[in-house]
Amino acid sequence: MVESIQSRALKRFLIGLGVLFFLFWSLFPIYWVLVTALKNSQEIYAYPPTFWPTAPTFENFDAILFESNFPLYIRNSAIVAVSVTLLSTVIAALAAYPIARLKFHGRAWVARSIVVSYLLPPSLLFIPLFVVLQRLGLVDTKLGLVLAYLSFTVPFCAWMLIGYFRTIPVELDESARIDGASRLQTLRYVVIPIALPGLSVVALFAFTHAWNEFLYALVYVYSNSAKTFTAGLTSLIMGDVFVWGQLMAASIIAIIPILLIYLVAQRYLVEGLAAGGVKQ
Amino acid sequence: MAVSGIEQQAIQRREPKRSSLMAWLDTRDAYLFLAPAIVVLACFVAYPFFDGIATSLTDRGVARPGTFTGTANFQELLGDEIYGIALKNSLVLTVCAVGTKFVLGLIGAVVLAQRFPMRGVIRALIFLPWAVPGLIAALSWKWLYDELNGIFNLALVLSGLSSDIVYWLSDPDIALFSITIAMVWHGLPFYIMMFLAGLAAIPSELYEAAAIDGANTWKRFWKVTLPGLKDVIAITLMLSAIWTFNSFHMVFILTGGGPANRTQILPTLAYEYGIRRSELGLGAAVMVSVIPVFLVIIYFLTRRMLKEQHSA
Repeated sequence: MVESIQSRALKRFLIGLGVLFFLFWSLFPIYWVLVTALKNSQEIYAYPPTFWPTAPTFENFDAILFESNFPLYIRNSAIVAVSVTLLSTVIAALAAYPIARLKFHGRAWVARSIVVSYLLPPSLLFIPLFVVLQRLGLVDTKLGLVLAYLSFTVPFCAWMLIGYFRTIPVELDESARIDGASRLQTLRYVVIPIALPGLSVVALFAFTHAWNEFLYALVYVYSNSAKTFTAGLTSLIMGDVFVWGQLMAASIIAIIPILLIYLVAQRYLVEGLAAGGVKQ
Repeated sequence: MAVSGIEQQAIQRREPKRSSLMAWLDTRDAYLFLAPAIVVLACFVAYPFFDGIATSLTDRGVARPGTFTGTANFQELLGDEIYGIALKNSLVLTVCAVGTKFVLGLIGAVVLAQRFPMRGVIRALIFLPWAVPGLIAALSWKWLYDELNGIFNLALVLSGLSSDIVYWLSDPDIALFSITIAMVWHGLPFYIMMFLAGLAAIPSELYEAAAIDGANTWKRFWKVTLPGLKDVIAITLMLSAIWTFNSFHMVFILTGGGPANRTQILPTLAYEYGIRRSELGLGAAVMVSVIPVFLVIIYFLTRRMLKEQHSA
């Protein structure tokens, strides 16, 4: 069917309008955070507001980086997130392999438990998990937080990896086995190298989740030696005074690692997300 | 094409008579590999899940072991006006946010699936809110909604639309709506990404056939696009309903459940009772009271996700 020139032009116009709307909707709040972070305190509260700082300044970044505990919180976040990433990737790869490859009693049951664990929301578990950490003496420690995060990242990573492992031809495993490789060697030297792209995506998701998480951090850690930046930022605002310039500067700093990940791996992350249905 | 689960099982079945020893070795190997994951899931998911239910039947406090009180916590919640408000708010927020994300997500995906210049870059920019940590998304919107210096009020005044300040977060009639908008902002990219992936999986022949049959754009959307997205839509809506209902940070940061508990939702109420007031039993009961609803959704979602992965 030939579309008329008019309806084509209309279609183009509508697409353009839609794209502009979604661009503006997604980017304006981020833009406003950035602009606020670069303004001095008079300009932040000036009327009418300026859409670009008249005298861009890094004073907010200076204050947050050199006169607050924020760098310490960022360091804690990094330690927690990297530990979660390493642990959950290894544990999940070990778990996903037999589910994708072996026939064994209880396989369906284990697979189902993994999906259900991934779907159980943190708001349901945060109070009983607090009790568990209390019993283990791990409240207010980085280790406690890492263990709490594993409750989400392990099932999620395992679930994604089952899918990835299934895409690798099983003949490769079989020939390695015939050559006398153990199952662990087959996983380590045959499957893992091929699944590396998938494995990296899963690792990035685990990192992002641990880095961004808020509820567990808020409840389980409260001393400066354990607080991650999400918990740390709330202590900056819990008073009645919001130092918006510094808060926005801290936000920009905290987004940077995630943004780097996102810029490098956006395409793969989106594909992985579509395959696994990832936590927001 | 990947070897699907079914094909793979067929391959294994074709193997000449697997001895029972082999089967036993496979099972042993499998559980050796699974052991660390099973420990994590047992200690930090299954145990807390059941312990949470047990805790909700006690008067346990943060520093007090607690005794069994039966359904006392639930009876207290039933008579608690704030619990009623929080339950209603949670439902309203979930329905409104999920509904809005669904409609906008569908429109967004259809628009972004078209051909236009710099499509990859533009898509990445539109997905950007998804990469923003939830806490920071909440802080950003708190600043946008600020009564005196927030951009929304300034825009209202500057554009001459209204000279009165809108109390986005402290007017009880508006606050829940403001929270919904912020949640839609953060959650929309996920919908667009899921629907885009779904759209890409619809064979273009279907559109061609519909076009030959004389179906216009609108009809093609209803007859081809929507049915083709059926599975993706079901999974996306169920996942999102669970997450949205349980989303804690937006309400906690934007209003803290206020003014006067008018925007309280169940997760923030559980925090309020369980952690702030140190009544772990009562706090646990707040979330345990809605477990049945979740279990139903999780049951259907699990079935679908397992099916999807087998056919992937």
